[in-house]
Amino acid sequence: MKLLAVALAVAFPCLAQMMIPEPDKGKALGSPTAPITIEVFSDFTCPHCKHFHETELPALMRDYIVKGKVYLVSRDFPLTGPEHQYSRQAATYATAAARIGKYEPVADALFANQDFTKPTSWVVNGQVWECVAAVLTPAERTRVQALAKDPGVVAEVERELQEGLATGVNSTPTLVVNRGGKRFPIPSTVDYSLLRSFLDAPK
Amino acid sequence: MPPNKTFRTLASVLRLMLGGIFMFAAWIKIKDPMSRALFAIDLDAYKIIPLRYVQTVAWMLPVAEMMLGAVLILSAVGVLLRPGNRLLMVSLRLSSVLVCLSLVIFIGAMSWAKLSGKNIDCGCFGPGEPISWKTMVRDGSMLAGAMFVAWTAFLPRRKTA
Repeated sequence: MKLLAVALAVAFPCLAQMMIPEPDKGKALGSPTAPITIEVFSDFTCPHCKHFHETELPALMRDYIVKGKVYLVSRDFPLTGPEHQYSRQAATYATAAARIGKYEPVADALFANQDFTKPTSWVVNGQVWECVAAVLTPAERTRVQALAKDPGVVAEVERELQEGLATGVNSTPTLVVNRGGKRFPIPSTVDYSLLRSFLDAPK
Repeated sequence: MPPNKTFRTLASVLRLMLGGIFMFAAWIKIKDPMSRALFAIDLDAYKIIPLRYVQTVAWMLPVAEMMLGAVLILSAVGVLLRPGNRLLMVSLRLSSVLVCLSLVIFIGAMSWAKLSGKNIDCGCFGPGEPISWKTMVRDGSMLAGAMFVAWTAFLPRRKTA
């Protein structure tokens, strides 16, 4: 079903504007019946994504997700390039952690330890697993390591990347707000007060 | 030298088209609260206007576009019906120049954003249209048309018998 959705979105870009790809529930926050769904396409090595995760996301959580107004779905969009060599690895571990309901603590740890100025940071020394393992119990570590090698998990990361590309994501983080059957990509630089006026605007 | 009939017809058609485009672009931005909020987000992405004025400008700009488009259309029709009316000529000249000026500002802002490496929406005709060479060429063509319209508005009129 997910593959069909991606294939349709790639073949008919106009459909990508209308379809909300089936979310991975392990990467979602809030109630699926909320009137607004926000997809966040982000990358663990992107500093703007770290800023979004640590400042705007808690505000969204407090003002909209907890109140049942917004259903938030995280989507991995691993970047490529010299500073993003561990992006896909981090996305794969996070997706594997989502399968056991541990996406949020793993995402928190990856973003909290994302610092390009510190040689001890995983984005510099490539010790992605060590960063992920620090927030898991021994039993969870074993399961996440096994799941990270699962072709289904690897394919999910690639599928989310392709979904982002089909939606027109060209920078991270990009928020795609789904309201009233329409999808609105919102720039990553959006000020929270302006985002609020959009979310609060009557249809 | 007074412009010939073809010249004047072309100018009149362009005035009506530009006026219509300006009014349509404005309507897309203010037709409902969601569109207004989205335009404010698009406007803020340029990072030209201080945040505290973004909402106000996001409301005033489309209103100004709407008024400018309407005045251009009304003046163009008025001049065709009453060629000697000085007030209509002044209104036509003023609105033509203001349309040119606003297009110069819009293209300038888009060029600046593009050269700064910003991957943002143009905000010209609603959401979901990133700044690209296509949007630049489209607005550039509109500017060329607007300059022609402004130029013809200042040409001497043919004397009527």
